[in-house]
Amino acid sequence: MPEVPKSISEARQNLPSLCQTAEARLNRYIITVQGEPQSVLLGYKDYQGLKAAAELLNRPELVADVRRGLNEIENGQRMSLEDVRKHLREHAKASEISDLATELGGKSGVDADTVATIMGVFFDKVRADFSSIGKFNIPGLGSIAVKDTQTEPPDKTIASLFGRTASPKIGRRAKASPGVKYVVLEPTITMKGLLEAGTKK
Amino acid sequence: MRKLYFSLTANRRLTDLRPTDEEFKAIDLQLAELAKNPALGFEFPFQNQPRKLLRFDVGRFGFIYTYGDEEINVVTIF
Repeated sequence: MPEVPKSISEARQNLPSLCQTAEARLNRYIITVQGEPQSVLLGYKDYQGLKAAAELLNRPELVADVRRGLNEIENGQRMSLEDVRKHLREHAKASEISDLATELGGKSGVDADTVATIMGVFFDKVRADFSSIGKFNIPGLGSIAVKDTQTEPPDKTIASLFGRTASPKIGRRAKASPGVKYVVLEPTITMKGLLEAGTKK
Repeated sequence: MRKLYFSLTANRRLTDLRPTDEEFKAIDLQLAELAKNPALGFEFPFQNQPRKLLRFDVGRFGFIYTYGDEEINVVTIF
């Protein structure tokens, strides 16, 4: 990246061509006033690159990350975009479970890890019951049964299942994924039943 | 179009930053553009590194990457 001194009068006369070469050849022009350097004219990409380098200097943890990341790439320790997407989905699911376990643990006074373990067992039972008998019984409330399976995503939301009109945004139909079957559920629980159950302690 | 790869560090950082579905869609789209034109980012110097390092921003995420003829490697994300 050559640094070329230019007097301010020369810079003024040739500004368009200086801008062009600053961008195309990454030239940096030191603008002088009465022989003294006063300012610098440089290309936009060059300026952004310098800003990125300056940011790195102020963030040692980022420098360490760049070094580590480069080493991993050199050693073939890398993931495809599809794997990253899958990892993010799994992590989001685990975070949701962990957040719910923390919330329920806080309310019940049981530690979150125990709640998370019980939730895991509970979800396994829900999956097993749906697979074997096609329904899941919620003691004292009713059941949720598999009504049908289809290859198209359902156009009903949970809200509409309970007789409420979902907003068009929430009710937007998802795209069908090849090879995926969607289950249509039929609850025998009403919102009234759920609310009544919520008030019983 | 080049194939996209993430270092394990880049994957870990992205997970820490917890992108929403909408943000991930934007990242997906922008990285697809980057795969077509890898010089979209800004090159910056880094400790005598022989590989060209570039920075590409998508919303609140900054991607640091390198590229070759066939692939783009995301080094880290901040």
